[in-house]
Amino acid sequence: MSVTQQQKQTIPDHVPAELVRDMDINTYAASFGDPYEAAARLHEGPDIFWATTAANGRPGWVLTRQALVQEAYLDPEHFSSERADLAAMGISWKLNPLEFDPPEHHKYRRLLNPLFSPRAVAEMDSPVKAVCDELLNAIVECGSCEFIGDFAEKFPSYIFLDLMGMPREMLPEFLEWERLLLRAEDPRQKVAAMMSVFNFLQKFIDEQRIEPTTELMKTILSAKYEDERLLSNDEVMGMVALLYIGGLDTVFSMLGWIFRHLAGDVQLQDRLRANPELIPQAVEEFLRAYPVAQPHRKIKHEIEFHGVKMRKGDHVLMATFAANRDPRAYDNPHIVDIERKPRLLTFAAGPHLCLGIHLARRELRIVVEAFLARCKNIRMPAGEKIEFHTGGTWGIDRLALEWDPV
Amino acid sequence: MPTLIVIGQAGDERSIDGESGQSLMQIMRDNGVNELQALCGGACSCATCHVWIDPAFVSLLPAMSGQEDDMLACAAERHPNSRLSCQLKMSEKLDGIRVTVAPI
Repeated sequence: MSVTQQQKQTIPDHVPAELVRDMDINTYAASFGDPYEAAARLHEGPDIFWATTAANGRPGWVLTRQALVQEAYLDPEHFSSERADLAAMGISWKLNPLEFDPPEHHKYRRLLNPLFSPRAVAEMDSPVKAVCDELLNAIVECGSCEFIGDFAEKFPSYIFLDLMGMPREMLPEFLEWERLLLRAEDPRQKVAAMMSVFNFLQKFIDEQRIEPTTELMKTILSAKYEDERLLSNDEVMGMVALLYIGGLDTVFSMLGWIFRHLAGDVQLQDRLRANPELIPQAVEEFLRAYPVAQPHRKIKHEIEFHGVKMRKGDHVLMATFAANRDPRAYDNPHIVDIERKPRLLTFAAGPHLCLGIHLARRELRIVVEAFLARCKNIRMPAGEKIEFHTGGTWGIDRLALEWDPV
Repeated sequence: MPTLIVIGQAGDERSIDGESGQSLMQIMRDNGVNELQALCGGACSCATCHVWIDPAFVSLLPAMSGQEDDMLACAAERHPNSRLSCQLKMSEKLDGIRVTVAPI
């Protein structure tokens, strides 16, 4: 692919010409019927290359291999998360602790860890099951649905409200904000929706300060930074906002890919229905094959990384869709094999390992088990195709399904 | 080569030759101890490489950092001999150390 003169001018001079690819990673992946097929194509090229649009609309390095992405995640000294992406919206706080590097990072992260430990998450099973059943009850008799709009998209908002102890009356507004945030064509509508959410969260925090109603909010509002002082409003806001964003399009996107896959494999559905103890390992393999989040980092100190000179300020895409399908790490990486029991980079690695990892896995397991118990022969109606988006997260936007009652 | 003895959650025991300087977590993962999840890859950030150390070896280990202590605070079954295996490096002095994979 050739690089135009104009684009050549935006390529920094430390980037060797032979590593430059004139491509927008997200547009490229979206050109395939299944965007994860892009992984195989990228593996035909260099392990690290410079894409003219890599992440967040900016040019940068793309790491395509499992070992490289893992190594970068474990090196926050060079591959930094320090940023304030919401500053453009006039927001003073940073997503907490996502947009911090060590050593600050751990000072905040340690306050949230106990809320999402495996033990803590085990206690969330009942509310998660209740939401799943409530949404499934509404559609199961119909024998068909548009899975994203009717289930997957609603699920995170329901869960968030219940976990945060927010009133159910807020549900219609939350669903509307979520819909605009994730799907609005006009960026101003997205921003407006985000601001509505944040304004609500601020009011919620103010009320909780007077009378905390959940262990989660009690913990955050009484937490001591470095055992010395309470958190500032910016810090609390940063955490609560991240709790909202973190489990939003990630979970619903994962549900989309899982059910799209299941809809194409009735044998697997039957096997998992008959052997629900296999569902956890099936979910792990789905998480490997269809990783949703494609995070990025920024170089904080110059580094020569596996022969490639990266300068301070360079953006780096952790191309998880490619790393998780790296044939050097996985035999037959494009085959979904529930016996594989893989290592994953789906939830990142290093200090920013997803806080919600245990909750996410449980949510996915619960939904898969609930559907399979009540629906068999889940399939896409003849002629139907999926619609999906790429970008910071990759997700299905429309998935028509039909099934027979069990 | 110093030897690490790993006891699985089911009580199964195996001996692994470890290289001095490698973390106990890495030695276990490299040798197929898959029940040791080690989700964060060794960054003292997940508490899923939690092991119980044979009491005879506890005093030979370097002191726990504040961060390791924080992470173990979230662990399901923390005991005085609990450590995160990603924070412990193999050495000749630890030859024969027995560790038990803790539930997460």
